[in-house]
Amino acid sequence: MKLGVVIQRYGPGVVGGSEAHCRAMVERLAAKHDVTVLTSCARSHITWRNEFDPGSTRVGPVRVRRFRAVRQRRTKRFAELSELVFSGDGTAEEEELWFRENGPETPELLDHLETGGSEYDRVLFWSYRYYPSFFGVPRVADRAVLVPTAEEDAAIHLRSVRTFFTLPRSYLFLTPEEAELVAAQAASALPVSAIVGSGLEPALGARGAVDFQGSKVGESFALYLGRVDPNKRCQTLLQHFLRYLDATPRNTQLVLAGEAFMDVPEHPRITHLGYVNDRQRTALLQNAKVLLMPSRNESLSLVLLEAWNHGLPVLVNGRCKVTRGQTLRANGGLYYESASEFAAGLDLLVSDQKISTQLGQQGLAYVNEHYRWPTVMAKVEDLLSR
Amino acid sequence: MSPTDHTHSGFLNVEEIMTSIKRKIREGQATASTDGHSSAEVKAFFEQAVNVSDDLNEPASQGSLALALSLPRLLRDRDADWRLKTYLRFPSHRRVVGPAISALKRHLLLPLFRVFHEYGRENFRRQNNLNVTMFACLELLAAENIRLRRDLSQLQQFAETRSSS
Repeated sequence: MKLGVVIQRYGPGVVGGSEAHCRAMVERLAAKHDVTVLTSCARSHITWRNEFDPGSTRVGPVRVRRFRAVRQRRTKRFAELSELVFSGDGTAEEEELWFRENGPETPELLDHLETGGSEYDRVLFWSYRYYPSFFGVPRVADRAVLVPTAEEDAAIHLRSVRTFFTLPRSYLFLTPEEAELVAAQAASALPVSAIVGSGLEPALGARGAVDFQGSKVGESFALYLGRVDPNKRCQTLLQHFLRYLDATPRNTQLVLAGEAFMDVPEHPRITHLGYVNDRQRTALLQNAKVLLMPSRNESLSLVLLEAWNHGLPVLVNGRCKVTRGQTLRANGGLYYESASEFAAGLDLLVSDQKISTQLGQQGLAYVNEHYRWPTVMAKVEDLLSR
Repeated sequence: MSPTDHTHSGFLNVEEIMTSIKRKIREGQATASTDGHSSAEVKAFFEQAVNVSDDLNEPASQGSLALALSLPRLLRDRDADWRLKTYLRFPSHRRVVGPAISALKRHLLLPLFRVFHEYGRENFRRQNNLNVTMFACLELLAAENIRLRRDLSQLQQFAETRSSS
């Protein structure tokens, strides 16, 4: 098959959930199909500044064609427009303008789809909320496969999204909750779809010491892995953890690994490591007692799958349908809906080794059954052939 | 049953553990009561209200903010302009020079007064959050009140039936 893959940014140094998901899947598709990734020249999803050269190149085994973004994101204009359309008062034109401002505005990519889209057997689009997908899908709707990466966020409630969701030929979803969310928003019944999630390679290596160049990581720690950001509910996580410390004699430490976009309080039991490399990440997952996932909006939490891949139990925000659903299906951890439940859940997981190990092993069994690459790619291939 | 009891069969069911955790928390709140009404219960009630408002005030989900609670929706249906509008529009009714006037407002006046606009917007946002939290508390109280009235009515009917028989 000749496949086109449209994504907002792609390549080395590009960090992001949907981008990583796309790249992992595309590299596997390239082993069987003629794949061309159509993307912007941007590396940053904040500015969309053109950092890669336009034109054709290769990233690993994949052919990539880059198109210039005609301008960088105007953050103030975008924030104002977001405020307007998310208030529910925006007109259809203002909503369209929001998708344009959200960027990366790459009209040449749309021209390419318009004129050459019929040469592809299928065109896969990642992330509905960005310009290339929102304006690209209608141009090749008869062969468009959408991977919406939809979350329970404000954009999903925009009126223009209702019609947009009826356009693709088929869907690849990450979780059943995401499929339900998109189906609930779409103006009519969804076309054929598959819930594929994402694949993982089996974790290698035995437990080893954690070396973080001076940072104190103790024996008993709860781990948060990802952007330290109020939008990820890290503020609430810190508040819950401090309340937990007030009520317990245990020596539990909270280790935050990821770039911070908020202040992290100075506290002897809270350690912020900042960005960690893959080796450190693995060491943290191997040595932690529990992985904490406070985020409220997710389409699939890859970090939960990573934790289970290492046999690590999780404690998730029960108000996030997706992570709660993942945890319940895997029986791989606990969830909380209040500070009291957070404290009780955390205390159980750090103190009861038997429960903790069993939940982690159940999570691992779940990953083995559903999230190994051969299983995932078989579902993708099946959908593409339909 | 303690959470550890779930390991007897080898397989652990998360919902069973959660039920056990929630029950223990409830029991802890009940035993904390030393006066007629438990302060822990009051705290739990407000925690619930804050959770509701917290969800509605999630920065990423403000589109649904006014839609999830009944009372604001009722106010809106009555054409009451109760909402704090924190966004700016630059409209003009003049067909020919309108776009130029809008551009002037956006590109000249807005930058000049942006500091005031952003100060005001931040305060409006805080007020909005407070409003939603209050609405959430009111709705929870209303729901609780209705439940108690229904229970009372059933008890009265039960008492009347017994006394007549």
